[in-house]
Amino acid sequence: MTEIASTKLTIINELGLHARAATLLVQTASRFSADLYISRDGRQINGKSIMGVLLLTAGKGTELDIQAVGEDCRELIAAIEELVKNKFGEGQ
Amino acid sequence: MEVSTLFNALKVELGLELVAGRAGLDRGITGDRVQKPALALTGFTSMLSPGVVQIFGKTELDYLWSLPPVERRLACDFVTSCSPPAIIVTRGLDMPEQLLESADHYRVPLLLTGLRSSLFIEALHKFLATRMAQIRAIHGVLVDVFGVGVLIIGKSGIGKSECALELIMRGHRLVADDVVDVSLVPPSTIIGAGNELIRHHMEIRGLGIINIKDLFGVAAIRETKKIELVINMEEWDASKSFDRLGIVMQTHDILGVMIPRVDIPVRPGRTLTAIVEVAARNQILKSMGHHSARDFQSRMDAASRQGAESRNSRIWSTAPHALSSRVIDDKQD
Repeated sequence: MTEIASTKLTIINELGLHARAATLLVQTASRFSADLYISRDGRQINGKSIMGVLLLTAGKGTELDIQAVGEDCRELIAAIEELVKNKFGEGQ
Repeated sequence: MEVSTLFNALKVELGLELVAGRAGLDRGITGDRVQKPALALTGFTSMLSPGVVQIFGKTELDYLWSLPPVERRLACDFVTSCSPPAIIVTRGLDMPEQLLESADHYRVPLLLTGLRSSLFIEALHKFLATRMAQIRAIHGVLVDVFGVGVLIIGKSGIGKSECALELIMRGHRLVADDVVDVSLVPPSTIIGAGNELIRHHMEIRGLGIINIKDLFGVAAIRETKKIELVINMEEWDASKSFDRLGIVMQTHDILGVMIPRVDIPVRPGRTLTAIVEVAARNQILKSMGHHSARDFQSRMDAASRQGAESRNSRIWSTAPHALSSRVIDDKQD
């Protein structure tokens, strides 16, 4: 059976999911074999696609639904949570 | 969609006026067609579709006026008590007060337009079709190959964008990369488009984000395209058997429409562009009624039938070329 893990995250860094942050997110997600889906206001995109993540235009305070499907889904979700919590290493 | 949305969007364009049943403006429209109730006015209401706007034209109004007042109210109630989202009277026809009372009583918005039924229904259909079209984002690349809308799907990093880029370099046109917005145009057309924000840009690993329109010109792009073929790129897996004949057509479900799908195994160094191009050519043939694989199969069947009928024929043992020459004979026939 395919494993599924999901969570809700709020973007807290000042610049939101801008180009560099989006790249970091996609690169992180790509290290895992599980598929990552991110949705905002019912619009879902593939979390391993830079274009898709940029398209979310998620500014500070945006709530995102995150779902991972596959073997290492839990680890993937944890990594994404960590990334968002650390403000993508921007410190603000 | 709420009736108020429709009313606000069309009141100027179609000259709509709210005459009764204001309390029901929050009713939801779920059908993308409209209906003329006709027989429902006589009490035969089982054919009224729920969630569908009812149009009262000259037939309905003439019928109502032909009835005595009490029965007239009853006839109106037959329709309004079924809770249609709205009733729209066309041609600016004179409405009996019983219709207004009935609409208020059952909280059914009653609208009036000056347009003829035929014109009004056409305009409303167009509005409903665009507004109610389901839109979904699909992860993939949409390219117009020889006029065939080809949607390339597959896991991230398998090489969809690279394949599309090669197609563009061969003169085909990009519609959308990475995020394809698909919508259903009834009855069974699926239209794909790029999202405005990222339209005509591609992400190529190693190069980053590139602008196809700037790099290749306007002839290398297009805004929307009907999706007619799905190419599913899959990792090469020796244990999985891929279609070798192409007789059984695979399909891919997009918003409930089955689109022909081809599964193609991917291996480093395998040129997919040529395969996609040929798949598109094949799709053109199929849409014209020629099915290469099935034609081939029936030729083979005919050849083997002939072989079985003829006592002297030893297709395989004595004449290795018999089969191919038969195929050519068939053609000459």
